[in-house]
Amino acid sequence: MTAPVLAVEGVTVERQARSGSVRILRDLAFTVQPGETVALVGESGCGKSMTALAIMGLLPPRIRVAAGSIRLDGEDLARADARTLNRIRGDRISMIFQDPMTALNPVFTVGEQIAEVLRVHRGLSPANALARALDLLKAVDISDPAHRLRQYPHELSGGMRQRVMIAMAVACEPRLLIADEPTTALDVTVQAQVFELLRDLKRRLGMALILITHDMGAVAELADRAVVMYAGRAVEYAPVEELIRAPCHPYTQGLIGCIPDMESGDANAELTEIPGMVPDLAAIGPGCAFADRCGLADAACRAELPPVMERAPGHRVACWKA
Amino acid sequence: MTPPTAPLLQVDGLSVEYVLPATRAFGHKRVMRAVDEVSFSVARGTSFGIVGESGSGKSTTAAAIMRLVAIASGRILFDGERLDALGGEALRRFRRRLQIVLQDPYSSLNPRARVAEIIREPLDIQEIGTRGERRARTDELLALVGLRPEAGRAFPHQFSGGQRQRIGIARALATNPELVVCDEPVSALDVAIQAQVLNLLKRLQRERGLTFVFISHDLGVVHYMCDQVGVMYLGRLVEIAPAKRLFSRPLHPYTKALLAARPSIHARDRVSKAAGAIAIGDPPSPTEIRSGCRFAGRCSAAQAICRREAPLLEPKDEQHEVACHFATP
Repeated sequence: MTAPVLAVEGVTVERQARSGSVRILRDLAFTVQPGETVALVGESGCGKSMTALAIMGLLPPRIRVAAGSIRLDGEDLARADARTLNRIRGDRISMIFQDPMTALNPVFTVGEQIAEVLRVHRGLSPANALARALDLLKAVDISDPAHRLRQYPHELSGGMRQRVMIAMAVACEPRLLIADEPTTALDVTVQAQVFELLRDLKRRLGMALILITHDMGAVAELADRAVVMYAGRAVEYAPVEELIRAPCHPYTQGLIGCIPDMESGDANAELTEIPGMVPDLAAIGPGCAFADRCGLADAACRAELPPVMERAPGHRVACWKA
Repeated sequence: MTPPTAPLLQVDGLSVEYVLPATRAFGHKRVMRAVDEVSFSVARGTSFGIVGESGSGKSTTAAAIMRLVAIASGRILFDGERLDALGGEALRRFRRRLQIVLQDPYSSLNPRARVAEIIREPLDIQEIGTRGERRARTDELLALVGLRPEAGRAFPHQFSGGQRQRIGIARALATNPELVVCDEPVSALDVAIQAQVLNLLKRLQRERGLTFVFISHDLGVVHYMCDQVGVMYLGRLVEIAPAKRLFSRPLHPYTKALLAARPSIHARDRVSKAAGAIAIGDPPSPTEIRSGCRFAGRCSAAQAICRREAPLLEPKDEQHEVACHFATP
C-alpha cells in the first residue's frame, strides 16, 4: 500500500462554551490514498463540514482540535502554524464550497481571483497569472473564457460560478481537493456536469478528492470509499459498492432506505423512516449516539459506546448490533 | 352536479406574466412569461406531480392555482367551477377547498404566533365552527401530523425543520380542503426527515382522499408521491404521463436528460450513461427566451426545425403527451 495523501488519526474537535467544552468531532480516523475519492456522508450537524474545516485549519473561533493528528503527506496540519497553513492552502490542498456566490469575492473579476492564487503560490507575474487563468477557465469547460475572465461573479450563472471556484481550487494542481456539498445549490442537469468535470480533473491531475455530501446518490456517482458520520463520530467506513449493497450500521441502512428509489421502484412501499432527529451534541450520553433513533438498540447500546470494529477488509462499523 | 369521473382540477391554457423592471431609466418594461399555455387535469384523490429545474415556472403554476398571482390568460376549473373568475368574498369562501404547503418551513410560519394560533388561523378567517370547536380541531390536527398537544403552546423557533413542516401541513389541512398544493414541501429538509414528511403526506392522502398537486425538482420524490407527472421547462409543459411510464419510458429529450443527471445509488450497476443524454450548458434565463423549442439550445438531437417552430404538447397515445418534433422512446 502506498503512503496516503491524508491521514486523519484520532481527531477530536471541541467547542469551548461557558458551561464547559462540547465534543463536535470524536475520535475520527480515516485515510485518503493518492487519486482516491473519499466521501463523508451524513445529515446536517453530523460534523462532516467541521471535518473539512479542521483539515484546512479553518475552524471558527473557540473551536479547536483537542486531540489527534491530520497528516498531509506526513506533515501534521493540526499542529502547523498560520504561516505554514497559508503556504499549503490553495497549493497542495484546496477546497470548494456549497455556495459559490458567497465564496467568490464580488468586487473582483473572475480572472483577477484566479490569478491571485497563482501570484501568491507560484510567484507568477500578473500578466502570466492572467494568461494561466484563461487556460484554467478552458480546462473547466467555461464557454467564451476570454470574455468570462473580465466578468464579475454576479454576471455568471450558478453552474459557471462553481466552475470558476473549481478553476481557482485546482490552479496549483493540489494533491487533495475538498468539495463541501459542491452541487447542493445547483440544478440537477448542472450538477451532472459538475460531477463529470470533477471526475475529469481528478483523472488529469491525479488529485485525491474528499466529497462532503448528504446525498447517497452523489456518493455512488463519485466516491471510491465512504465514511458515514453521525453526531460527530464515524459510524461506518466502507468501499462505496459494499456500503450500498450491504450497509452494516442501522443508521447507514436508514440513510439508504429513506431515499425514494425509482430504479428498484415499488412506489407503493413506504420509505424507511429514521424516527426522531439528530441529538444535541451537548446532551449525548455514554452509549451510542444513535441509540434513541435505532430500532435495534437495547440497554447495552445506551450504556457503552460501541468501538469501531472491522467486519471485512476495509469495512469498519461502530455498532453492537451490526 | 359534475359526474364523479370529472377531474377535480382542470388547468386550461394557463399563462402567467411578470413585468420586469426596465433595465434603463425610462426604458421599456419587459414582460416575462413565467408560465406559458400550460394545460393539465388532476383526478380526485390522485397526485399530479410537476417537475422541473429552477425557473421552469412550476412554483408560479402552483401560485396561480392558489390565485396568489394574477393570471394573464387561461382557465382554472375546480370541481367544474371557474376558479379564475372568482373574486372578493366568493374567492375567500372558496379558498377553504384548496390549501398550500410551502417550501421553507422557516419563513412560512409567523415567528411571533404560537403554533395553535398558526394552525387555527384558516379556521378563524373562514369563520368555521365556534371557538371551542376550533380549539378541539387544532388539537386534532396536531395529533394528525404526529405532534403532541403541548406543541400548540410553543413558538415555531422551538421546532426542528421537519416538525415545522408538520405544522405547515396541519395548517393546510385545517379547513378540510379537497386539494392541497405542495410546493417543494421537503426540499429544505434532511433526507432522513424527508422520508418522515413524505410518508405522512402519503398517509394523509390515503386516509382523507386528498388530491395533491405536488411540485418538486427531485424526480425520486415525485416518482414516490405521484400518479401522473408533468415535466416543465422554461414555462412550458413538455411531457405528461403516468409516473411509472414517464420514468421508465420518457419521450422528451429534457426528461431523459433529467433522468440521466439524477445521481443514483445504483450508479455502479447502471450501464454507462449515454453521452448525449446529459443536457448541455446551463438552463437559459426565463427572460431570454427565443423562438422555437425552448430546449433546443441544450438538446443534442435538435434540428433546424426545432429552432424555428415550437413543438406543441400532443398526445402520443392515450396516456402520454409530449412536446417534441422528434420524440422517440
